[in-house]
Amino acid sequence: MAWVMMARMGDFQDDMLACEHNGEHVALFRVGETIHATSNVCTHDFALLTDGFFEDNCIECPLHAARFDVSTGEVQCGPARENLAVYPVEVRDEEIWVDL
Amino acid sequence: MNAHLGNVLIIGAGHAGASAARELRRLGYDRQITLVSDESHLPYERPALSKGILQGTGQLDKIALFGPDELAALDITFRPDYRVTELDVKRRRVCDTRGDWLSFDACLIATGGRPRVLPTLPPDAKGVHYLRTLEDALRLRDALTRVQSVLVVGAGYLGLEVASSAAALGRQVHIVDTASHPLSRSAPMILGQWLHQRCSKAGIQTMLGNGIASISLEGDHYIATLDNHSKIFADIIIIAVGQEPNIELAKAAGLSLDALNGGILVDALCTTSETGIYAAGDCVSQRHPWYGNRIRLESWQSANEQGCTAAAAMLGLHPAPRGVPWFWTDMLDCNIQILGTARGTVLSYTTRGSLVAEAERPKFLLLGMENDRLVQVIAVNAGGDLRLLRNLVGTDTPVDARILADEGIPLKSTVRELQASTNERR
Repeated sequence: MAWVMMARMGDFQDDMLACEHNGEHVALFRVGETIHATSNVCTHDFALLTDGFFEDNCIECPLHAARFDVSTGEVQCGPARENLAVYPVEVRDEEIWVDL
Repeated sequence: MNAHLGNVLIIGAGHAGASAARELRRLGYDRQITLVSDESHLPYERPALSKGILQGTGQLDKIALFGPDELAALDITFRPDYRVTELDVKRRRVCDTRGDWLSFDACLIATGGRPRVLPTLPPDAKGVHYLRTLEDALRLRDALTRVQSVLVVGAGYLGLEVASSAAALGRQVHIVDTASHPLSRSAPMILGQWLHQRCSKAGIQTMLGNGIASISLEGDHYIATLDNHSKIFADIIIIAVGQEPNIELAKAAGLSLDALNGGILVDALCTTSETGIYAAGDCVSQRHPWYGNRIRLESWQSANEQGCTAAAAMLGLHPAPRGVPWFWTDMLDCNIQILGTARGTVLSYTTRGSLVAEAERPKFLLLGMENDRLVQVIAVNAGGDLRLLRNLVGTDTPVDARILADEGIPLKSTVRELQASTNERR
């Protein structure tokens, strides 16, 4: 576990941001003023979740529509059985730090 | 909730059966659920059988319908190797091949389907493969490691998926179908023609618009002669010419069948012609609000929805409404999703993105319009975009296809504006 400066608030074009750190895919989601960080890879099949659909605090995988709550990582529906990894986040000034 | 419902028996542990069991628990049903399967494996998802499992990239634990210990946690009694041979509707019990009886208060028939067999190429013939179960997939995977050439009969979803997997493994692949382009029975020609080109890029030899005139086994390989007299040599043959519903149990029990499509007839609550006996999945015929008539749908989504509907109905609860028909497949390095169908009308298609079939990673949407209404969206490697459009498909929101197709305009903002203007009109 290590805190990593992943992105800046200004990097968000939308409500999702795809990031990478040492080959690990990390997704950042913006819900109001809150930022959530999860693994960006679906637990069912390989896909970047940030290519999917984000609504009501849930990210839906672009491949087979598995849906995960981004604050808990819990599977909501779809073919996935395994929850998504979620990471602690801290925003320091405009910097988004994630504990990977 | 129906407080009097005793135990529930589910026949078939495919997607429909498993989702019914899961939904019963989610809805708070706390009595006995028994899930029986005529296979030896724990319940699993079938979609990966023709893809990751064949290619050896998919892991068996990833296709489990229940996580480790989940059946125990949900208190679902799972009986593998239990093949129901008799359903006694009056006495509310079933019997298996060993004469082992199980009684029930409510029963769900989720017996699915089996591959349609070509009489000249039975499943036990040397080098002939059909694909439905995990056993079939493992046997085919093993065969694919030992052969050079493969003939796939049938260019529907399954045939293309299998051909794509075999080509990805470096095998020489021919695919033959009497139709002139792939997916001719289920998708518009624009997609079929694109897939045809995409097959070439993957090195798959397509012999479409041709029937097989004769086929013979000579030595270790097959020689198929097509109607146009061309010959194909193949070490193994994979037949993917559709599915037959497993309705024999229901038929013998006297349940009503649909004379048109052969499925077990059920109402909107998935109830068969006998009270307390429900049916769901590939084996049923049900009126679908999208199509406006009865249909036997073979899809992941339909099995899921019908399983949940039957579970709610058993408990006297209102089931969720059916969604717009949604199909997906992974083949030829593409994730392809189809939302909505033409419903017998002629749609005109507008493309967002590029249709270049040779692209490493194609990405486009086909927008199927009936006048100014969006009736179908086909997404190739663009599932997120398809999801954005979901609330517009099949609705009365007028849509300008040229704006949706303009890659210079973010889809999200267009959809937001359309929805805002629709809400204003209301």
